[in-house]
Amino acid sequence: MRRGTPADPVPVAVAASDAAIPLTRAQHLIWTGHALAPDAPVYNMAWRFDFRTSLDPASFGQAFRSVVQRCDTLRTIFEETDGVPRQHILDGPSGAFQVLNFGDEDAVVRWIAEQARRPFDVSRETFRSALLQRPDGPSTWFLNLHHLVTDASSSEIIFREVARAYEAVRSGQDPPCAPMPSVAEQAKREPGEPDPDAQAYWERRLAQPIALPRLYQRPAGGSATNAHRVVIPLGPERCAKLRGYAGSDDFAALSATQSLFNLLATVLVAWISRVSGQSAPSIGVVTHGRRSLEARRAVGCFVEIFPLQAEIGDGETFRSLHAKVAREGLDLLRHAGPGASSAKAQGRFNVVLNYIPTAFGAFGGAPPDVAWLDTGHTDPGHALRLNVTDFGGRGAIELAFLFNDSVFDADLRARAPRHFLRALDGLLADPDVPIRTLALADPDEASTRLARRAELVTHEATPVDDVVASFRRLVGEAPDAVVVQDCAGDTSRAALDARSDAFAQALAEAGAGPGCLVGIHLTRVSDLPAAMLGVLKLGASVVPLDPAQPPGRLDAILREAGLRVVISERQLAGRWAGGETRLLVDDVPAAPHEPFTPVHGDAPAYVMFTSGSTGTPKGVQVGRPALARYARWAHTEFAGGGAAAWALHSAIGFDLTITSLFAPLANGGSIVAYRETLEGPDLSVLRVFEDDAVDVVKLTPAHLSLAVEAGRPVRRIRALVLGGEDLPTQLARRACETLGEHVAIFNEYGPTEATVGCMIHRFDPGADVAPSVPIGVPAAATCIYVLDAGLHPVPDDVVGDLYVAGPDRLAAGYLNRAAETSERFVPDPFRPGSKMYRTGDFASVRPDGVLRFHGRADDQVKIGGVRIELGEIRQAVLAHPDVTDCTLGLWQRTPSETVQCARCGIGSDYPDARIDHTGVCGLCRDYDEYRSRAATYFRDMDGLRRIVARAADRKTGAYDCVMLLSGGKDSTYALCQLAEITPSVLAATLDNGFLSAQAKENIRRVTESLGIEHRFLTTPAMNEIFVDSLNRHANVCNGCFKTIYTLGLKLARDEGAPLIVTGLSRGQMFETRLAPELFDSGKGDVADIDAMVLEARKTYHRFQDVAARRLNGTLFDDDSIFDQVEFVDFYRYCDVPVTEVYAYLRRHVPWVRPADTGRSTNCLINDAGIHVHKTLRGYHNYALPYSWDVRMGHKTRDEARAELEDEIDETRVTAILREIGFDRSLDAPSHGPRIVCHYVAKGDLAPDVLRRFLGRRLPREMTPAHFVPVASIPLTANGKVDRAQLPEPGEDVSQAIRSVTTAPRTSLEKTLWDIWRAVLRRSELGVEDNFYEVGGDSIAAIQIASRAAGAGLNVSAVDVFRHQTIAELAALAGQAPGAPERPRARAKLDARSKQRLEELFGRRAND
Amino acid sequence: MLDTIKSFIETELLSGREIDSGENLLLSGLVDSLGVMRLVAFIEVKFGLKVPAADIKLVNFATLDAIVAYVGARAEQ
Repeated sequence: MRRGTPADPVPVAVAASDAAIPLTRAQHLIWTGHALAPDAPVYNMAWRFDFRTSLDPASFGQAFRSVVQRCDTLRTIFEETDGVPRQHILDGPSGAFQVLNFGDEDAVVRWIAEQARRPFDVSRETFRSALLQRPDGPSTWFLNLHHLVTDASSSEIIFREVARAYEAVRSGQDPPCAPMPSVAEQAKREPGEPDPDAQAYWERRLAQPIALPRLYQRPAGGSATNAHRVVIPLGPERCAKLRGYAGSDDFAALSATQSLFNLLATVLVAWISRVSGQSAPSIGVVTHGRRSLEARRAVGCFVEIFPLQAEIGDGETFRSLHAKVAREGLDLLRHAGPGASSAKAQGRFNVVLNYIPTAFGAFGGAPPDVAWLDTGHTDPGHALRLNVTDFGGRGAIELAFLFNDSVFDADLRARAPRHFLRALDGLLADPDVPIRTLALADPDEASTRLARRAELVTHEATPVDDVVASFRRLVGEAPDAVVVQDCAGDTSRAALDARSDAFAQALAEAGAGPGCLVGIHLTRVSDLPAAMLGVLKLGASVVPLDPAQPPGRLDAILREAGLRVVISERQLAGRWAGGETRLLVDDVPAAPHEPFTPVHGDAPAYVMFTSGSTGTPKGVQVGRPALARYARWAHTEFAGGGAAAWALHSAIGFDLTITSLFAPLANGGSIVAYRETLEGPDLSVLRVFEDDAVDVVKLTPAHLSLAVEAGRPVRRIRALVLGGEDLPTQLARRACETLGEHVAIFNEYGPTEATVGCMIHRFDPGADVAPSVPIGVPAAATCIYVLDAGLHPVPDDVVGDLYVAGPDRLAAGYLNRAAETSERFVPDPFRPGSKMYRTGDFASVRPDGVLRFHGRADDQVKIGGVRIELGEIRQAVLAHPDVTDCTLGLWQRTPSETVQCARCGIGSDYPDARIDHTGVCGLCRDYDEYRSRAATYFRDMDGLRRIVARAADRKTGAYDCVMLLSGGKDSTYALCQLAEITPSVLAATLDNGFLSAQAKENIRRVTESLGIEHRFLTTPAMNEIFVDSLNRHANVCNGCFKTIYTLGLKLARDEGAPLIVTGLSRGQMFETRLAPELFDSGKGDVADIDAMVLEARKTYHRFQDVAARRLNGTLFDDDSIFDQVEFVDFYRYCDVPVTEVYAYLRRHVPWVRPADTGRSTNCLINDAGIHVHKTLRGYHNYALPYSWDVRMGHKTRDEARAELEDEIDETRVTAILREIGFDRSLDAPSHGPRIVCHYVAKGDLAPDVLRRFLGRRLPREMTPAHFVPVASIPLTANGKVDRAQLPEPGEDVSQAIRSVTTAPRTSLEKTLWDIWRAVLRRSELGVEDNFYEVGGDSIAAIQIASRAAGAGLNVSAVDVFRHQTIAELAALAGQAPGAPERPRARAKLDARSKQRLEELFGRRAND
Repeated sequence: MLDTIKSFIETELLSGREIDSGENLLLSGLVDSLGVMRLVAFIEVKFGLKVPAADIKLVNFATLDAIVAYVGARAEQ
């Protein structure tokens, strides 16, 4: 027996053969992970098999060694040379086997735990195996393998084979000795390139934007490998139910395994969505990767992980989600060929589902207990791995949650599996229940406790004395105490009492009475409190009318409230004089004629108007008990229960101001009134801080921002109460620093409907680190719930809908709006018989019971399914040292009416139409300017004759040339003319399967009458090429063009014809290559254009799309084909009016205009391409080509418009798309709202600079699309940001979301950078940006070359193709002039630039 | 058609093991979901038809006979 101890290095045997074997792609991904964390046992796969009896160590050793000898995977090590890992198969084992004796069970546990976590040096060993013996006790086998050589199935195969060998040895036979299939064999068989279908599928999937879910608002990905495993056996009842579903007609898949997988994947996706708010989560799915029976018997690492994404709609049920998951799962399997997974694909999930159907059988007569050991580590990119196992094969399913410690803390590791199980139980109970309504939270979670305490809160709440009664009591206690101060002097309690009686009496005389609504249209004069108290004493309700509001809005409130009596001031009459009866404060005496006895009815204390969703203000009716309760609480909370002075500085039409009026009035404090000026913005808040003459200031974050900006330390002010908007932590911190550490900052949350404020949090600079200050805990006698769509408390740290309830807490609904009232004031499930208010805000509960605010439901931005929090972005913007203030919002471009160019008819929806005020597009204007100079590009028919004659000399077969004949008028005319030059023409037409019958008939008749030979070219790959073209370009024409060119070249080569003649129209030449700059005075080097076109053509054919993969063969392995065959465009040599074309065709050949395609095209699939393009790209793909037809006089503007506006027969198009196998759903790309950031900065902070700054701090989807510098952030009268006053962002949408860019570093780079920016119309550009990535095309290449020449740089358009960044181009241009031949190394093109190049060609397929 | 499909299953999926036309491929575990999807891809290319996701179920792929019947019916549509 071979013996070793764990400390002994394993002797490295000599390799059996020197041939090193490359790694499979699956192994490569593991190798990369291993290399990133070589000292962590992330990829240890360690097993513990506990047998029932003691095994014979000698027999076991012999059995194990025999398997090692049969299985080259157990003799494989890995080495890296020059960064390339390879595997070597050794003669001897690549790991140790030991027999160890233990007396103590604890020692067994310790030894195994230590061994399982020992990392492998895979250049020396890839497994460790030990038989652990106990005196007179059963044996345990420990087997630890590196994932590079194994997966779960392989481990089972090794187990099975060792068991078989052990049986043989025990019964005196030789163990089996036939070699086992190995992964090395499979590696040799793995195709070099994944299947093109699969590649295209994954390219398409990976191109879609995705954002990783943040589970429980934790970071999306881990930062370390440390992990904890939580194992949950599902138990017999759940397992039986699961199996029942898996076998039912509704949920059965192809196999029991697949059925169970689908069910668990559905639950996992649902759970992720619920605990992250992600509406389209993606999970990583482990596939076994064994494609054949032989592979399924092999030992090695075959598994690969692929992303599976499913969208969860509002009403999504488990049943409907299951259908999506099952379909996605099949799609995934279909494209999960070996090597199809990529590093990029691995970045699309942070949760992995590993469903392991492996079961272990008997060993030595009985099955052992099997455990897959916890190594305490996981892949750092995975927040969670869920392993589903049934190693005993007895249907006892276990869930093993492997939680990444950097994402899940201990508390969450305990809670999360329970939430998952509730989701699973939800499915098992009723698959038709909407997922968003499932109760997930534990009974002991803070959110559940909040709901549970509702009844207690209600029970314990005691009523608070009415504000009028309280005030009168205070008058009795200290009549001379000052209660209102302003610049005019002080008012005592007794004086205020008398004055308010006088108001009540005057109102009664004016016809108002209990239950009336009385408008208060006053500035913050010292009479304001008196007027309000007067209204309340009358038993009427106050309707505040802010004098700063526009008269129209006050009129609207007047109408809505049916106001008749309004208290106002004489000096306000000029601004607004609404109301039948106006009571002016000057006309009210200091005291009543006779004592007034207050009335206390049921009327609301006040009706506060807020902006309604329809634009009409709606009145929130707040009752007197609610006002009293709030005033008492605010007094206790913010003034510490003492006689504090409160600043009255904010608008009276805003319920924020209620605090500063009634907290002091009803509780013995005093009001210091800051009267507003009537002109200009209300900056009273600044005076409050300058005076520093109050104890408490209630204000909005925008107010605070102003105060801090102007700020200096304060001495008296000791409490700030922030309300009205989300409070950024950064602002609170700055306020502390500027105003003084002694100032307490309270974040008060509360909608008007829940009486000013219902939650409170005192800012703690040390503990509050999230972007926004929490909204805290409920106010006294207040119930706060954070609920899901089923009105169950959501789990802690999960975002849900915020509801408010409680005795004397809520408004009595909206004035005269029963429907809206019942929509927002809904039955409270936790206090039967009572209502709760649905705030429309999002919140989450921390485990310590503190609530966080997550924005309003109306303002939610979702990008890639992820909720974006504007507060978080704002925080990041404010982190820039030069930014002093900013506001984040959403902006949606209002769809403008499309207009058409007056001349060519191109629509303004075409991205580069540039229609000016005269109604003419930029293309027409440019063309006017250079058309005469562009004439140098064109030649006459003699030129063509010479080329054909030269071809006749060079030909090696029967034909001088191949003519690509589409069968349309232009190419038919061209063929006729060509036939006059030479009869040795071979005409060729691509039959793409959709050619119209009339077009084919035309072609047959015409070629026959001309005596020209003709062939139809076909390919069985045509439909695949169409689908690929639709996926890449949203049209069918690009695919068709590439097919024609490729097959045409093959035909010419095979026939020995050195020339291909195309029917490309002059319009198409202008469209694709003849840019205005080419013909700037003195230029127009035709050879340059030709060189550029040839270069583009070579790159185009080499780009590996489906057409290239299916058609190229070896045709383009080198450039020699382009030496053998030359392309010429017939219409470069022939200028003929369209009328002449038609006339000629009529006279000379039996050609008729096809009438069976519905447009001027030969092709029946065209409509399908147009439909896809219009849907996905938002405009017609023929808009540009037709505009050139009009410019060339080949169509009239009206004809072009009529064709562009043709109705598409969607039924027919859908049938065609189905027929060719294009099954992608045509969802128009989102033209939804974008994030816009308005900012105020010190000095001149350019938007680009700020954008780059944020690019390093925020995920891409959170970076604002627009940055707009402003001098200040405008505020509404209420002190909130006035979004209507903010300037609209500019039009730089397309370049908005970008990564960090590199600025030019040399003067040469700067020169080129200026040119690129001008040509590509981009303000922001990095020197490393790829030409194609930033929207370059051949026209742009020409323009860049032209302007570079103007700047004295020697750069050609071809150079732009070859050196695709500013940096590379600058390096080229920087080489000394006159130096020998510039290096012409072929630039390496990435996929995107290849795609752009492809678009240079064949923009359309009509004639 | 039967021979084409049989030959694909035997050589590509079963590493040369021969099958009977009535032999249960799925319930026996001979062919798993990954194998079925390879077969679906093969059928689509070979016979120029589209197999909708809804058709990928046990009844259509359980045996060689079932597969042949399904493809035949699908081709006629």
